[in-house]
Amino acid sequence: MRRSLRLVLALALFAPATPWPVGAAEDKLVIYTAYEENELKTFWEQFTKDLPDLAAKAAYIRGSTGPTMARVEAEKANPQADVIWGVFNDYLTGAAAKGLLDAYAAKESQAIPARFKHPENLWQGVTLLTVAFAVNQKKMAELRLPPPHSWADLLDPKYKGHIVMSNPSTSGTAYLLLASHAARLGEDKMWQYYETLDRNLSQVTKSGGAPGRMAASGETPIGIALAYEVEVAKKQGAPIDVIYPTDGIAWTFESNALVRGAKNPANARRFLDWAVSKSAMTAYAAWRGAGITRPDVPMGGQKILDMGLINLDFVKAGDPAYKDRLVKRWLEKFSR
Amino acid sequence: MDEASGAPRSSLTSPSAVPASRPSLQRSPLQQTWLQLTAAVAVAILLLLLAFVVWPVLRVLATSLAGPEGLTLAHYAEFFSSWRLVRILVQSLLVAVVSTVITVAVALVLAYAVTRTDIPGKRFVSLMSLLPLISPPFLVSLAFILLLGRNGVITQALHLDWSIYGFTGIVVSQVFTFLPQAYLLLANVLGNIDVSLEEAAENLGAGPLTTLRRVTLSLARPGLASAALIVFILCMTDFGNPILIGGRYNVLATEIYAQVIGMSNFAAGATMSVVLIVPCLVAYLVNASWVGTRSYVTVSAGARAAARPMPPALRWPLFVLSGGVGLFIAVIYALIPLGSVVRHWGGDWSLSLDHYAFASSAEGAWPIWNSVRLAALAGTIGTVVALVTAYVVERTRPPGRRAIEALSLLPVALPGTVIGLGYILAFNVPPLLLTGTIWILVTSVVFWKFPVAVLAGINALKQIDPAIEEAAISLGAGTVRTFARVVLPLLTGTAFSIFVYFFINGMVTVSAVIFLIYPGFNLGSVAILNQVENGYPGVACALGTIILAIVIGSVLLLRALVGGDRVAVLKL
Repeated sequence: MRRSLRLVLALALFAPATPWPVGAAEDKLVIYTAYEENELKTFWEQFTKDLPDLAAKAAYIRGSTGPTMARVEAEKANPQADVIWGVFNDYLTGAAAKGLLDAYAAKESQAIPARFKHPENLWQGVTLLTVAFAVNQKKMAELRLPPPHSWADLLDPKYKGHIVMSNPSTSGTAYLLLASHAARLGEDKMWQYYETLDRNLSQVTKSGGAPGRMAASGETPIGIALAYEVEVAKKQGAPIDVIYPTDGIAWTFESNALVRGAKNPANARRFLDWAVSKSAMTAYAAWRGAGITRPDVPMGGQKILDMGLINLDFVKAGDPAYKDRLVKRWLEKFSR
Repeated sequence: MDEASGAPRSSLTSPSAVPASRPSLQRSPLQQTWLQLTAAVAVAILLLLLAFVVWPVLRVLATSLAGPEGLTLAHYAEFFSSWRLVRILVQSLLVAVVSTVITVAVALVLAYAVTRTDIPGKRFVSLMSLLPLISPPFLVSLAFILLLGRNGVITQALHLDWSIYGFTGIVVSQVFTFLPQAYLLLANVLGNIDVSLEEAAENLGAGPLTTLRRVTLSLARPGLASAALIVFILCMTDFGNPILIGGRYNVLATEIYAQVIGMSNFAAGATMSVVLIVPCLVAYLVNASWVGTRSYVTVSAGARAAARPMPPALRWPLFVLSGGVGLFIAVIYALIPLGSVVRHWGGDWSLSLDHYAFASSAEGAWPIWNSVRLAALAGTIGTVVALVTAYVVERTRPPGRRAIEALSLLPVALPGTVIGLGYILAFNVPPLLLTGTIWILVTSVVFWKFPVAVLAGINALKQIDPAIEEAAISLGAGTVRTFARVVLPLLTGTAFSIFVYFFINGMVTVSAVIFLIYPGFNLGSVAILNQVENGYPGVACALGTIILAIVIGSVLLLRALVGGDRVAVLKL
C-alpha cells in the first residue's frame, strides 16, 4: 500500500500547473502559421533572438493552409489565435470577407510595395513563392524517364504512377495551382487537364510541402512542389532538380494578419511589427532567397517577378464562393 | 448487504441502545452516511457519463440534423446523393469486411495452434501477439511503408513498380494491428472447450478433421462470431492505418477528419459520423444480445488448455504458420527502431542518431512529453472513476445502475473520430468550455476507453467473495472500513492494470485527440502522423521508438513495483 502511495505521489508531478479550467485572458500570444516546420524553425529562432520576452509567452500551431484557416473560422465565436502568420493571401482575402480579421498596418510595412498588401491593411505580404516540378534525378534515371519541361509534358502516359500532387481542399499550394490553371486555360479546359493528369498521379497528399519532400527522398520521381523548398533540398544534397514549367509558373505570396477578437491584441501587434521587420525578412531570405516582399532588404537569386508567371487574379481566387465551387468540384471528381 | 450487516454491528458495540423490537433497521450514523455517499456517487457518475458520453454524441446527431430553419434531413440527402461519399461508405465497409475475415481466420488458426496442440514456440507466439496491443495502432502501417512503400526495402530490392499504398496496405496493416484482439478472444474460447469432448468424439470413431469441424469449431462458433463483430468495429473505426497507408483510398473515418479539419464542414462531418456509427452500433448490439455485453474477455493471460498431441501432418503446418506470424510481428516492430537509426531510408543506409535530434520540426520532442502528461492524468483519473463506477454497479446496486452500466459500455461502439468531433462540438462553448486545455484530451481518453476499464473492475469485484466483506463486518469493521481495508487492497492489482490500460491509450491514441490538440500542445502520436506525411519517416520512427520504449518500460516498471502477474494487459 505504501508503495502505491509513493507511486501516486510521483504521478501527481505530472499534473498540469494550471488549475482547471485554464483561464482565457492571460498574457500570451497564440500564432497560427502555415510555414513548413523546417523553415519555421529558422524563423522562430530569429524571433526568439529579437524579442525573447514575447517569444517566451508565445506558442504556435502549424498546419496546412486549409485546416489552419478552417480552424480560425470554426473558432470565430471564441478565437484561440491572435495572429495568422505566413498564410497564402487568397485565403486571408477570404477570411477578411468572412469578418475574421482586423485591420492593422504593421510598423515599417510602408516599405512593402502596395501589390503585396490588402488595400485596407487586413493583411500584409511577406514571402513570395512559385510552384515548380521537383524531379529526382536518381529515380528518373532508374526508370529511364526524360524530365518534364511543361505542364503539358506531365500528361504523357509514360509518367503514369510517377507524379505526386497535393489536395486543394487541404493544401494552399494545390488550390493555388487549381486557380492558376483555371486562369491559364479557362475553367473547362482546366478540368480536362486535371482529368488527364489524374491518370498519372500516384498519390495526393494533404500537405503542399509533402510532394517536394517525397521527390527529394525518392518516394516519388516527380512531385509538384514549392520551388524554394526543392532548392533548399538540393543545397542539402538531395539528388533533385527544380524545373520551372515553360508554359506558365504559378506563384503567390504569404501574408500576416491580426485575428478579429484576439485575446492578446497588444502582443499580436508587436509580433506583426516584427514579422515585417528587416531582421525577420533576413530570416525568411535564408530559406526563400529572393522571395521576400521588402525590396530594401538585400537578396540574391532569381527575382520571382521577372519569371514567366501565370497572371492570376488573387482577389477572384480568394473569393470564398469561387474557391468553394472549384474545391468541391475537384473533390467530387478526384477524391476517392 | 447493509440491512443484514447492520444488526450484528450495532448489537456488538452498543447493545443497550438497540430496541429489541426493530433490531435490523437500526443503522449507525456512519452507515447512513455511507449509504448517502454511495447514492451521491452514483448520481455523480451518471452525470459524468451524461456529460462526457451522451452529450457529445447528441451534439453530433443534432449537428447532422440542423438546418437553417430547424430540423432537416438535407445533409443525409446530400450524403446519399453524392456518388463520391456513397463510394467512400462502400469502401469503408469493404475494407472492414475483408480485414475482419482475414484477421479472424488467421487468429483462429493461431489460437487453435496455441491452445489445442503441442507445437513448440507457443510462448513466443503469445508474447508477440501482445505487442500490437500496447503500441500506437498505426506503427504497423509505418513498418509496411518501410518494407513496401515506394522507397521500401523490398520495393527497392525487387525493383517493383508497385507500392503498398491503398486498399492492400490498409487491409494488411489492419490484419496485423487487430490480430492480437481476435487471437486472445479466440484463445480464450478455445481454451475453455473441454478436451474430453474431443476425446469422446475420437473414441466414437471420428477422425481428427471431423472432430475439429464437428466438435471444436461448433463449440467455438459463438466466440468466433463475437470476435468477428468486435474486429469489424475496430476495422470500421480505424483511423491511423487508413490515413498513413491509404494513399488515395479514402474511408469514412479519414473523410470525417478531412471534412471537419480540412474544410471546417461540421455538418458534413457529423452526418458521416452518424452514418459510420450505424454499422458499428448494429455490430455491437448483435454481439451484446447474442453473447452478452460482458463477453469481452478483459484479462489477457493467454488461455491454456490441455494440449493434445497432433498428427504430424497437421502439427508442422500449424507450427510454420503460427511461428511465421509471430516472427513477422517481431520483424514489424524491429523495423521501427531500425528505421530510426538509418540516416535516410531507401537512400543512405548508414547508421546515425540524427533523427533523435528532431531537427525537422520546431516543436522537437515536446509532443512526447505532452503525451506522457496526458497518459499519466488519464491513467490516474480514469482508474479512480472506473473503479468507483465498477463498485457502484457491482456492489451497491443503486437505482439507475443499469443506465450507468449501459452508458459505461456504449463507447465500445463509438469511433474515435466521432468522439473527437463530438467533444469539439460539445465543449467549445460554455458551460463546459474545455477546448484549448489538457482536460478535453484527458476526458476524451478516459471516457472513450471507459468500457474495458469498468468491465475489468466489475470482473475483479465479482471474484472477491462478498463473504470476505461480511466477515470483516461481523468482526466489527464497519462498511467504510471494510471498503478501505478489505476491498481496496484486493483491487490493487486490477487498479494498476486499469491504470496501465489508460496510460497506454493516452500515449498511443490518435483518432479522437487529433481533433482536440491545441496551440503549443501537440501529442507524440499525432506528431508521428505529421512526420510521415511531411516525408520524414526516420523522425517518425524515432518518435515511435520512444513511445514504444515508454509504454513497454512503464508496464515493466509497474509490474516490478506492484509485483509480477498482478498487472495484466487489458484489451478490448
